[in-house]
Amino acid sequence: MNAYEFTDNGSRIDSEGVKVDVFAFHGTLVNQRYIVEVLHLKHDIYILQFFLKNHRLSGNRFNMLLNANNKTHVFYVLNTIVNIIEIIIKRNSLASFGFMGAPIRKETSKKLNLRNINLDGTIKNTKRFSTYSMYVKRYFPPTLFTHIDYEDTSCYLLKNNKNIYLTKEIADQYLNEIISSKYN
Amino acid sequence: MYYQVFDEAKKHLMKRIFKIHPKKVKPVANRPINDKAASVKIIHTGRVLSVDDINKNRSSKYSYLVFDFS
Repeated sequence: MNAYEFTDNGSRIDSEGVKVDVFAFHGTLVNQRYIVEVLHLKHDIYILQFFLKNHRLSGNRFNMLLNANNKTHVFYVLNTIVNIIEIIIKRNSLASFGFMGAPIRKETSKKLNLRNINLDGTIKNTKRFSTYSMYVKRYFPPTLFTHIDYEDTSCYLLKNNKNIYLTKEIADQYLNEIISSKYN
Repeated sequence: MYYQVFDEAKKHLMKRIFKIHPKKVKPVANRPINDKAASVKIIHTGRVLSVDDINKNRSSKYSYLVFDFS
């Protein structure tokens, strides 16, 4: 898989006491630097999030789009994330991976997207969610990972089949806990 | 003479200024609760995708990755 080279920038503890591994790479096709954060949550769940280094101080860093118009770059970025996942699996063989397709600015607008905005503030079926979920279905084998789709909240979990303690019920409950702490 | 005219003009102006005063807004007791953004809790449940679901829009030209779980 063609991907960008990344560097491991170590780990830190965020304000909520969650361990965060930080990786970085240079998107040479668009000449932009990216930061990838991997949050270590309970039940060996790792949440991957990435954003442009230029946007790191913005509260909307996950929502902004790069106006690069370069499809190859998009695949290179996603392939780089998969390479980071491989590193994490080497470190923890029970790791499960989750992501949330952050909404773009249009999708957060009640005027333009009211029918997809839930009462608790989460947003259904975002553009990023449909792209990322299609991508993970392409490369992550169902024999190793159970694919759990939370279309209503634009979340996705790749549950490691080796981790027998993480059931769907636990994952559902944990997701609801996270949502209620973030949105309410 | 000049001062008299000036004083009268000043009085007239002060009267006009004191007429234009903002209305006092009284605090409203028992305001209906529905005008405040209430937090709503929804229980979200995921859907486990079957192999058919995963392969539904998946092109056969892509092969699954091999992960080293050692």
